[in-house]
Amino acid sequence: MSADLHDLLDDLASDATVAPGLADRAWQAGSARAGARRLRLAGVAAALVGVLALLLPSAGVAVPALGPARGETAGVQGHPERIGRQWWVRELPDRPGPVAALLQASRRDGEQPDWYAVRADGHRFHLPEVSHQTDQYPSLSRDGRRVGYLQTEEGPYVVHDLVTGERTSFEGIGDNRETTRARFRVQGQAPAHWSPDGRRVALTVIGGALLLDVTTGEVELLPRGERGLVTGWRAEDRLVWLTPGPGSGAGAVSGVRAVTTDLRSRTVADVVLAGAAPSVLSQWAGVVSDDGRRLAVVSDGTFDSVTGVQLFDLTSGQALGALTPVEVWQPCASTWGDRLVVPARVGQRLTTVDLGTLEPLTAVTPSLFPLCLLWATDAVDGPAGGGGLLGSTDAWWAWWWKEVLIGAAAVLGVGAERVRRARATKLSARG
Amino acid sequence: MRGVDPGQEGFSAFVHARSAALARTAFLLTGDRHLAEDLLQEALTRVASRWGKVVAGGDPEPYVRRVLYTCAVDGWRRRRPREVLGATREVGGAAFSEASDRRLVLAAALARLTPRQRAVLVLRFYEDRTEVQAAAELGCSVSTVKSQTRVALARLRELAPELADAFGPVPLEVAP
Repeated sequence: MSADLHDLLDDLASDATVAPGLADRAWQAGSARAGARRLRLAGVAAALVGVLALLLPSAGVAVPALGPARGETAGVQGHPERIGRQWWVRELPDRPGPVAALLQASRRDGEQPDWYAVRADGHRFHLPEVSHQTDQYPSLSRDGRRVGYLQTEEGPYVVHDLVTGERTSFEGIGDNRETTRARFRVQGQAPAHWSPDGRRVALTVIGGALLLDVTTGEVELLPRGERGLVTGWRAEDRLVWLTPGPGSGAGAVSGVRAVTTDLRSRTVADVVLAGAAPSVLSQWAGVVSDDGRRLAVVSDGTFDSVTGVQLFDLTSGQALGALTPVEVWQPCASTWGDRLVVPARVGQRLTTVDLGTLEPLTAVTPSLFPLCLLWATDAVDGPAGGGGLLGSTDAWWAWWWKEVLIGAAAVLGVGAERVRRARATKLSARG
Repeated sequence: MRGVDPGQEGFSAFVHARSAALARTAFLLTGDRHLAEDLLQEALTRVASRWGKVVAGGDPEPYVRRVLYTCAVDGWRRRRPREVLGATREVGGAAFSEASDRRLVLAAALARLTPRQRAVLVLRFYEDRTEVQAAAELGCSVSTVKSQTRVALARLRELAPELADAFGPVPLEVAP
C-alpha cells in the first residue's frame, strides 16, 4: 500500500517548481528579520532598564537599602546628593531604617504640601499621619532614627523609631486651636528640638516647653516665664532658650538673651548676646551648635530688615561674626553639626545651603516645590551620596532620564517594527 | 567592494543543492505551486535569519524540514491572498491520460485534508519516516501520528475511491 501511495505522491510532487532567486530573497528577508529582532531585543532591554530603574529605590543607581537593624545605635550615615522624581511614593513603613531629612513639599506651587521622610539615598516615603490642619511640623532626631509628629489635632504626639518600628504615643497633646481638648497645645509652625542623646524631645507648647522622655514616656512642662523661645540643647540636660532682652516692649527690644536651663539642678543661667541681634525673634531663629558652645541667630527679615546669620559664643555672649551672603527662607529650621546649614532661597527654589561652601546641600527635583527640609544632624555631617553617576546635576535630563529612556525604547521598538513591515512588504512584492 | 558574506555563500549553496527536494515536499504539503513557493521561502527565510546557529548544529536540512512542516501545519500565514487551486489546478495542458487523472484525483483529495493530516501523510508515505520520526518532526505524540494517519487514509478512501488500492485495505472492525 505504502509503495503505491509513495509513487502517487512522488508523481504528484513532480509538478513542484523552485522560484528563481529563492536563495537571495530568503537570505535578504532573513537578514532583515534578524536585524529587526536585534532592534526589538535592544528596545526590550532598554525598556527593562527603565522598569528596573523605576523599581530601584533611588535615582536609578543601585544603592542598597539602608538596613533597619544594624544595632541599637545605628543612625543615618549621610545625606542625599539629590532627591529625585519617584513615580510611586510609599507610605512610611514601620522599619525603613534611619532617614536623613524630613521634606515638606507640594507637587504644584500653592498646593497643600505633604511631609516626606527622605533616606540618605534620596528615596522618599510619605508621612501620612502628620496633622496638616494647624501647620504642625514633624521633628527628626539627630541620628535620623526617630520621627516625632502630632498624629491628629487632638493628639497623640507619636515618636516612631524607624529602626525598631516601635511607636511611643504621648496622650494629652494636641494642636494649638483654642477648641482643642488636649491638656497641652503644641504651637503651629514651631520646631521641636531633640536632645543630643535622642532621649528627649522639647516641643514648644502654649505656656512653655514640653519635654517628652521617649525612654520612660514621662512628660514635663517647663513654663516659659522669662525664658522665651526653646532653641536647642547645649548638652543632654541643658536646654537653651532665646528671649528678648530687658526693657522689651511690643516688638521693640534692646537685645537678646540666651538662657540655659540645667534640668538636673534646675538652675538658670543667661547671657546677653552682644551686637546687632534682630529686634524681634522668630521661633526658627536660634540654632545651637552640636558641641553646645555656639549659637547662630538666623533671620529672614520677616519681622525687620535684619537678614542673614549672626554667630555668638554661648558662654560669653560675644559676637563671633555675621554671614549675609544667602537669602534665608523661613519657616524652617537650621542645623548645626560639623557645619551650619540654613534654609535659603536659591533663585526661585527653596533649599538648604551649606554656609561653608554656600552651595545647596542637596538638589531637589523641579517636579516638587520644597518648602522646608528638616535635617538629621548626623546626615548633614555625613557624606553626600545616592546620586550615582548623576551626582547633584540639576539639568532637566538628569531628572527625567528614566522617562527619556523609556520613550526612546518605545520609539526604537515602533521604528523597528515599521522597518520590519516595510522590508517584508518590499520582499513580498518582489516575490 | 563588499565581499560575499560567507554565511550567505553557504546558505545559497545549500538552497541550490536542496531546493528542488524541499520544493517537492512543500508542494505536497500545500497542494499548490505558488503556495508551495511561498511556504518554502518563508521556511528558508526563518532559517536564514539564524543561519549561523543552524549550521553550527550540523546538517541544516533536518532543521529546515522541521521548519517547513511547522510552517505548513500551524505557523505559517500567507501575506497575500492567492487563489487556492487544489482540484482545479492546471496540469500543463497535457492530454488527460490515466496517469494524469490519478494525479488530479489525488491532488483534489489531498486538498480536502487538514494541513496536519497532509503533513502526516507526506512524512509517512512520501518521506518514508517511521511513526516515531514523524511525531518528532511534527512535535506531537506517536499516537497522534497514528490516529491522524488512520483518519487521513480513511478520508482519502472516501474522497478518491478510485485510488483505494493505493490507500491499503480498510481496517477490520474487531469485535469486543
